[in-house]
Amino acid sequence: MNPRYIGRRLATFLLTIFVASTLNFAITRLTPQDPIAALLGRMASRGRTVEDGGEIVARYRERLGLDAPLAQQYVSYLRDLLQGDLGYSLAFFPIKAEAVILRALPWTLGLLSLATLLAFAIGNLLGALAVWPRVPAGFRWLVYLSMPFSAIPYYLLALILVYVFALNWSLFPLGGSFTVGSDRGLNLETLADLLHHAALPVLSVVLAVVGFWALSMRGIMATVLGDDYLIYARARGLRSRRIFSHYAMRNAMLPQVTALAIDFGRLISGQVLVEIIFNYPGVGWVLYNALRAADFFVIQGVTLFMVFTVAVATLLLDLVYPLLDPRIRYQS
Amino acid sequence: MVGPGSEVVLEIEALRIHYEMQAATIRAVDGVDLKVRGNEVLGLAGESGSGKSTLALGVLRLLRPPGRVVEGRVRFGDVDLLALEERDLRALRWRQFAYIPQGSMSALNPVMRLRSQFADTLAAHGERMQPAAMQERFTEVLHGVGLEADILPRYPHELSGGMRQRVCIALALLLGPRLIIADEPTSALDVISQRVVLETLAAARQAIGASMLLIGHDLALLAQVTDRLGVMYAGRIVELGATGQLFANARHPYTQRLISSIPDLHDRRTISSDAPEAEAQWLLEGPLQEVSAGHFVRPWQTAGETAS
Repeated sequence: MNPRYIGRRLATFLLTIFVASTLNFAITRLTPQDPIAALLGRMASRGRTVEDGGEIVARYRERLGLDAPLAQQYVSYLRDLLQGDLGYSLAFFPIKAEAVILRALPWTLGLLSLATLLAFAIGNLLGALAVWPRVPAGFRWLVYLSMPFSAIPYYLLALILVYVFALNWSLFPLGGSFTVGSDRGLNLETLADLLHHAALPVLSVVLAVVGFWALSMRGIMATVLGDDYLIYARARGLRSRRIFSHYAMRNAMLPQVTALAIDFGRLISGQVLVEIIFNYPGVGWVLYNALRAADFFVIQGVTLFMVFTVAVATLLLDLVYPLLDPRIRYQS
Repeated sequence: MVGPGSEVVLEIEALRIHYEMQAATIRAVDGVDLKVRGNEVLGLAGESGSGKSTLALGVLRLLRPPGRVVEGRVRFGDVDLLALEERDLRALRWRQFAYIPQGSMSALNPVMRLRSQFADTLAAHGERMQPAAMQERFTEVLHGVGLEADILPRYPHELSGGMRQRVCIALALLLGPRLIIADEPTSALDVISQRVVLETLAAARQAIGASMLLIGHDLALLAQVTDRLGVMYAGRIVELGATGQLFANARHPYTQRLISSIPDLHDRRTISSDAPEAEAQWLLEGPLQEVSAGHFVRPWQTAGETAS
């Protein structure tokens, strides 16, 4: 691949991150709310009197660098960011915000990648088979069946699943990511327990987006089926399965990969709601709690994490795409 | 040089193909009888919409809805192609009859290297070969059409139109078929390349001794490489005969027009009739009639004469 293209794409990526970080800084400073005062206010409202409140606020502000001029704050913010320092969590002080987020990260990434891959694979296969000749007509209905779920918002779908499968039938746990108090180790039992807890959150994301993938794949596939190279492949006597996988699916997947990159942001934001409903200790759940606690630095960190994830996903897909479609040549 | 034999490789009988749509039914092929003999090149000429490509796709069982064979038989050797099970048909494809498509430009999978598309064709017919033997086979057929093996790692879009066309011809030669059906194999090329590619095709066919059904709209081009020539109009064959005979002694008014429309430096005419009402009489019911040995004409009527 063209090294200049990779270089330019990386530069765009870094610029995106930089702009997002700056916005992130600006928005939080422009908010009239003072995180320390808010913290003290909450403590006071719970009946704990804080003596000498003003002085504590001043000391905390000094400690957190909030008393410095904006420009200086911005510089130190960027410097800290480069070192992976997001600041202190106000709710879990003196734990750092990045530690709070890092602890939640594996849960979110696991759930997100599992749900995205499953939905993408199932949806595309469903959509492709729906227009493939020699597929039983009954199968086609699966696509229609998957459609209504796409119209239901993630969180509502999640609530319905909890109600039916966890509350009513007790097939799955109500929430959490593992059985509290169980021995966790590298064994099948732990894996089964994790999957058992992940099933409903993953299912609610998969159900919500699978119809979207199936429907658009069906449309693309219908077009591909009439393409000359498909008819020519049949004329050469290629096996139906080979034509399906290497000529039809292979080519119809290309626009879908692009769509995946575009859709990634939506997937992440949907994930937040699902984690909240299932009490799943991922980044979305951390964000929810941080919002309730006005834990500014954690909120900032989660926002950055989301921007970062979307930017990385887009970058990866952009770098991989020319390998999938050789007609795309990135010239400088 | 071995001339056409007497055994019949492909026999089309009373073939009717309709496009059945909600608004109307189009009779694209309306009762065609045709025989292709061993080692023979049979040309099929006609304008766009005369049904010649539909005929080819119908014979190859590659029609897509709403196209449908309504009636007729297609015998290949002693099997009825139209009655064959899909898996038996697949076994015959390419090994027995190959196809050179009209849109060779888009016939190759754009995201697959040529080598894989060649290898897929071999693998589909159970040819398991060592990579070296495979390379040798590919090189051989590519040389047959004037290409080098160094194009194999390339993607289709990295070749010129003429080269892609040659690749399709090379692919058709890969399993040494008895019959090649070529549907306007040169229509997308410029005039010079057309001639060169067609000559390549004719020579390559000759080398493997296959029969060929060559479809085209350019009579002058077809005349160069065909033994016999059929003229198709509105889904039917209106005249059929040895190429030289047909040119020297065209009987049917449509054939005459087609011949006279061959670009001439002094006089350029088009086929579109100056008297459309006359065209309505070009197709009368009844079988083709033999006017001289091997020269068949469909009955027609014009204002002045009724003849066949």
